[in-house]
Amino acid sequence: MNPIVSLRRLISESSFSPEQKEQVNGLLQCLQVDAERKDFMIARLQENRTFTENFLDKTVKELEEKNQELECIVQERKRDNKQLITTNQELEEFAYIISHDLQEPLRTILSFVSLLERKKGDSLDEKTQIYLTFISQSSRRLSNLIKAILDYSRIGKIGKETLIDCSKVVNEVLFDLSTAIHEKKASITIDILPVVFGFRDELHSLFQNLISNALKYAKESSGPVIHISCIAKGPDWHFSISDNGIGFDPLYKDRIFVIFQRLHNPNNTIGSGIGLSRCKKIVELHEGKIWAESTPDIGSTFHFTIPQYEVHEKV
Amino acid sequence: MKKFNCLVFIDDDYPTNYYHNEIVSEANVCEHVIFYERASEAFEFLKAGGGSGQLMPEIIFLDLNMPEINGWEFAELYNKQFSNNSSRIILLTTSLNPADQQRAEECDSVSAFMHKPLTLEILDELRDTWLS
Repeated sequence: MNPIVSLRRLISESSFSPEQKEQVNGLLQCLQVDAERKDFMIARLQENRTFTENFLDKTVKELEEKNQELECIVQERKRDNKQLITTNQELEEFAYIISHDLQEPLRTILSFVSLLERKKGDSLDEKTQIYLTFISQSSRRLSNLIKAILDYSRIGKIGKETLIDCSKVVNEVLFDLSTAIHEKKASITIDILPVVFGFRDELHSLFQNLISNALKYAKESSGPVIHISCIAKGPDWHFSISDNGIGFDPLYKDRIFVIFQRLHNPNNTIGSGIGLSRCKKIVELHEGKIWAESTPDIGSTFHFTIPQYEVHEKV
Repeated sequence: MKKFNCLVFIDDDYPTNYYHNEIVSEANVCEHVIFYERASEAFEFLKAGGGSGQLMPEIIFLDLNMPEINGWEFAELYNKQFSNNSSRIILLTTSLNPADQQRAEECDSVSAFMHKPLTLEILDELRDTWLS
């Protein structure tokens, strides 16, 4: 029996005065309410506990399932990685096959065109000579494209990263381009350039591409004025190569870095459509960014960043 | 035999234009043929109503991969500017990309997608279906 009920009975049968009985009953009433509240709380706690236990069971099960899924994904990744390595190797082989197997028939075409021109040149009519010129020009263009694709695929594959004095590299590039610089009467100024950690041939090619573009797309009216500068910006070196050339519509500032996209007609200028995409690949190989600004008829500035050597080491 | 009044070719590759000029002359399918190496110039020509000679072309043969305004951009500009024009665009490209073919089918002003170069047979066929 409930102790409070028993107590009530005892009190009603006791010799307490009615006031005393009422007082004790009042106290008992409080106790009764407290006890009921306690029971209610216990029931709630029990409910909560069951709920939590169920919830935990479910969560553990879910976690186990997720773990299994993750394990599957890891296995898949491993497989994909292996496949990627194989695909990359295949691509490299493919580039070599292209370079050799496509160049050979091309060489044959070029050889016979020059033979025809030499041996039958006098007896060929004007039209035929024009046709032959098209054949040889297109073949040469294709040959250059194939070489450019091969070079592009080799970026960062040959050679090792070392400390490179950019001033030295740029001076070498200017020496290589000295004929063009002289012919175009170009004026080139260079700031002091930093030492960076990178691929020697690739950086040479990067500067060569950007400087020769500045020479190539010069205005006919005035000699090219080219400035090469570099400043430290945050963790990076920020290089700029600016010119006073023909420039381009800023609308195309992204498209110029896409492979095989040219802004200028292939018949007017010599360009494989690969130079700037090559520059982009080289800068990205060095964990930098490349971009361009231009105003038509005023000139262009090409910017790129390369992480500073000290920072590069810490990373 | 009926002939086209005017055909326009837009292609940045000079040898290709030269070749097409030879083929079109040999096929003898049109009165006039005009070549543009820049899409923007062709667009100006069309905007001016076909130049002083009012040569609105029946067909515009359009290359896709070109510097500055490329083929797709030209087709889009053309759609906006000349929605009720009678000239139709035939995309002429070396691209073997199926995605390009799909895109061509979705493009309003584009009637067909053909691979370069045009041949005598294709020109004859175009004349027969277009002008019958």
